Order: sequence, then structure tokens, then C-alpha cells
Amino acid sequence: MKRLGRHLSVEGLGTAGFAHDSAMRRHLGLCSTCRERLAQIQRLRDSLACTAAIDLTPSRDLTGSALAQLQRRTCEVARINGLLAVIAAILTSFAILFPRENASAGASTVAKEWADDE
Amino acid sequence: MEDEALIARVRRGDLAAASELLRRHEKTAYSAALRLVGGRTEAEDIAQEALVRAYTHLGELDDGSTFGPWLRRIAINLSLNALRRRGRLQFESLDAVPHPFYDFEDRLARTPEEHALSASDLTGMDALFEHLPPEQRVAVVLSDVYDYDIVDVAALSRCKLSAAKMRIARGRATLRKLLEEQNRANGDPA
Repeated sequence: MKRLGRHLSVEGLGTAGFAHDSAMRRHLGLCSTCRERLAQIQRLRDSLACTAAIDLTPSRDLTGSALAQLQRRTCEVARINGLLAVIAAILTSFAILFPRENASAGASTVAKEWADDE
Repeated sequence: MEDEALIARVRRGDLAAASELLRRHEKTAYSAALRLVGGRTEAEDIAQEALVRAYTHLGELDDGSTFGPWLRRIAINLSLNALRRRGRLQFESLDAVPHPFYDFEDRLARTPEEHALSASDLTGMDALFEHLPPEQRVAVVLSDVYDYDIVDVAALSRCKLSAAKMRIARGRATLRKLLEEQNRANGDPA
């Protein structure tokens, strides 16, 4: 950090309270140079704080776009849910058409036929 | 109607109330995003995403009266993520030579048209933020515009406390120089 003698440095504007050496810390704000620089910092900070109250205006309808995006997401979720329901229905149909017992029975019939052949 | 009452209606599934609530606060999200990322189109995208997230995570908000600051925090987080993704927000070495005015990287990232449009929308301090490097802009905006303390600034910027202090100091120094130049150009005393 560039120091200007014992005064608050130019780059250090805004570092009030963070001054590194104790001599500088003791000196801060005591002379007219430092007082003026501290006042500059305060003026700058006040201007910046006022900025927060200024709302900038977007060029498009953000709320409308956000709600449309939410609606699209809801539709996508509904579509995925629908797809899952169809898959579940197909699996259920298969389970009804080919129950486990029948599948076992079929397998044991084939095994019996093979045994008979042998 | 107060925010709390609107939020209660939104939680019951009232879409009109959601629209009113989001519209009331959309400028808050947009302003924070624009001050941090600098580009209008990107700031609008971020603000829109912040509105979507605020709506979908509304159940996590305990105090309805803090909806505005909460939404702004979402926008700030999304903006910082966007800057990180672009590699604009990194740890800055304390030994790095400070540049009083920002170099060309930020301007090159946007087209001249985008920059001109963005600059024409902004006045006062907001126009000056355009000249700060992203790391300094983030630090100054969080600290001096939105009044975050230094620990929060460091945490959000994911840098050390000392680096955050340095960024704020350099940002303020740059802003002061810019203000002095502006005053000189306008014929005002510094």
C-alpha cells in the first residue's frame, strides 16, 4: 500500500479502521489531510448507500417470463409423470398377462419335456 | 396488500398473488444482478431465475416481511455463480499490481452494442460500476451498496478477509478517481 507519510494513503481510501501500523492508526483523522480523506470516504460511501435505493428497470417482463418458465416446468413434470404412468401401466399389463406362477410353470414344463426327451 | 398476506395466498396456490408478489420485487433482483454482473441481458436472465427459485423455495422463507432482501440474496448468489463460471471471480493475489481503471477483458466479453445499451440505461454510481473489475465491483457493491459486513463479503467472494478488504479499498479508490474525473468533465470542483 502506498503511504503518503503518516497520512491515510490514496489506495487506502476506504481502509479506515484497517490501517496496518499502530502509528498510522493513531494518526488517522487527526490532521486536516486525513480528516478530508476520511470525509471523502464517507461521502463516497453515502453515495453508494443511496444507490441501493435506486431500482433499475429491466427491459422485459421478468415476472411474466418467470411464471411462463414455471408453467413450462410444471408441464414437463406432468409429461414425465404421464410417461411414467404409461410405463407402469404397460408393466402391470405384462405382469397380468404373464404372472410369475405361469412363468415358473412354463419353465418347469420345458424342463420336464427335456427330461422326457433324454 | 403486505408481502406476508400475498405470500400466504401464494402458498395456497394463488397464481395472481404470485404474479403480484414477484412483480413487486423483480426490480430488486434485477438491480442487484446488473450491479454485479454488469451486462443487461445476463442480469435479466439471472433475475428471472431468481424469481423462479424464490417461487419454488417459498416454503423455506420463515419471515414473509423479508421477501425482498431474501430475493436479492438469491439474485446475488446467482450473479456470483455466473461470474465464477466465467472465471471472472477468482482469488486475487495481494501482491498483484493494482490497476486503477479496469482493463479490456470486461468490455471484450460484451459486444459494443450491448455495452452501449447497458451504459445508456445506467446513471450515477451504477454507470461507474461498469468501470470496475468484477472482483472489486462485487466487493464494493456488497459492502457499500448492500451493507454486507466484511466477513460476508469475503465468504460470498470466496476469498480471504484481507483480500476482501483490499478489493473494497481498491474499488473505492477507483470510484473516487472516476468521480473526480466526472466532476472535472462537468466543470464541478472535485
